Amino acid sequence: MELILEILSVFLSAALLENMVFGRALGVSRTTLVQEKRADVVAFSLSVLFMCTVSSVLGYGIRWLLGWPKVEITLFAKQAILFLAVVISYCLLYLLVIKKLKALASMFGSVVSYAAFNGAVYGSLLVSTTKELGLWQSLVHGFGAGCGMILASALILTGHRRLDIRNVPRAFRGMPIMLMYIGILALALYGLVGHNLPT
Amino acid sequence: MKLTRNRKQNRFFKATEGIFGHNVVLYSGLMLPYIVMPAVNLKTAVALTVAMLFTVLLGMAAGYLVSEKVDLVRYIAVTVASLGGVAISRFVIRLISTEIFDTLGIYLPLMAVNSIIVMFAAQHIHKEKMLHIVGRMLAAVVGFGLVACSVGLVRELLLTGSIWGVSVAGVSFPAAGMVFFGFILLAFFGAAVQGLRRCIMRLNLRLDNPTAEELLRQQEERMVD
Repeated sequence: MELILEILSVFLSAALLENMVFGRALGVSRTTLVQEKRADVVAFSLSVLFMCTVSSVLGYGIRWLLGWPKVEITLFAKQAILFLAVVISYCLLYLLVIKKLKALASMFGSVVSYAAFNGAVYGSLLVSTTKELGLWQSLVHGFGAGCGMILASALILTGHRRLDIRNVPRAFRGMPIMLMYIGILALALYGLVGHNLPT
Repeated sequence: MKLTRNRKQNRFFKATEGIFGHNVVLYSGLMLPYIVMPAVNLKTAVALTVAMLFTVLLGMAAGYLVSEKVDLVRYIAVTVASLGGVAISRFVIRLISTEIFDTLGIYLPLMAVNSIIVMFAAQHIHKEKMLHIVGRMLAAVVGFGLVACSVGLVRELLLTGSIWGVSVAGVSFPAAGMVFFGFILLAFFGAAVQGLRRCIMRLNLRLDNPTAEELLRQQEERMVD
């Protein structure tokens, strides 16, 4: 029971409380802000989910191989070595989607690389490393971060579609209104978690 | 209808593409996380710009040299090279202040996968002229630096009432350091730039083509004189 509760708490923390988009502003780029097709958003989010989950496990493996924290190397060196996990995960995703599952190539092909080198992927890996999570926690944290990215992408897509048909002031049309929308969502999530604004 | 001034203005925006015309952050929406989260003071903003310069420089060089048609190789080469750029930038940032590393946290290594690098990796830049690519890269760095420093300045003033660590006003607004404030501030910056551009365009049109009303007013003024 304790294990289930722990897993649930790590998942909720990664997906909601420390959401990569609304909590750390990671993964927000033109790719996520202006995508209008649902299929592209789905492909992008699923690629990020795959990358976050696989790289978190690989990241744990790299940490274990280095015998962390016994090896005396600088923090930056540790973070740089962890980038290897992202590279291996990208190779796996690329070979799986583009080479093996050719039926998926048309859907995922254009977004795989963008999703793989999205800030949210490397960000979730660095966060799980900073917290020194174990294997299961790393896996759940990566999966949770990916799910959080799916949630954020869905909310951004919905906002994008609804704001397009609203009478928005001219100066705010396009990127500014989307940033405002994300800012308000981030504030709402900040309040939902139970934080008070600092005074 | 005369469009002389607006044409001149458009030429200026085209020449400064990435900086004033289609700014990489405010128009293209690139590099947003680095401004929204860690750019809470001017020193950090300058450090981010330095990091950006080195990462983009090395990433671009790798993208230019690796002319592989396979995305896999090009993406990996460009991002690994930009990670080397982050390592170099750490030495320069140390000269500004060592405290910056605490503020930047995970955002410094994350520079290796910034959206401009990924954009360079996606394009076959080896087909373009070297001078053109360097120009694009520098414009992107200057455009980013301009927005980062402006946002950093405003946030530092609101957060601690200081500029570059020197106290100038007795203001304290801690919420200015939060993520949501970064998004909202950037939205206002974007709207201000769009609004200003539209205002200048209108003004140019009016100056080039005085309306009948204005002609009448000018005639009346002459009569009074």
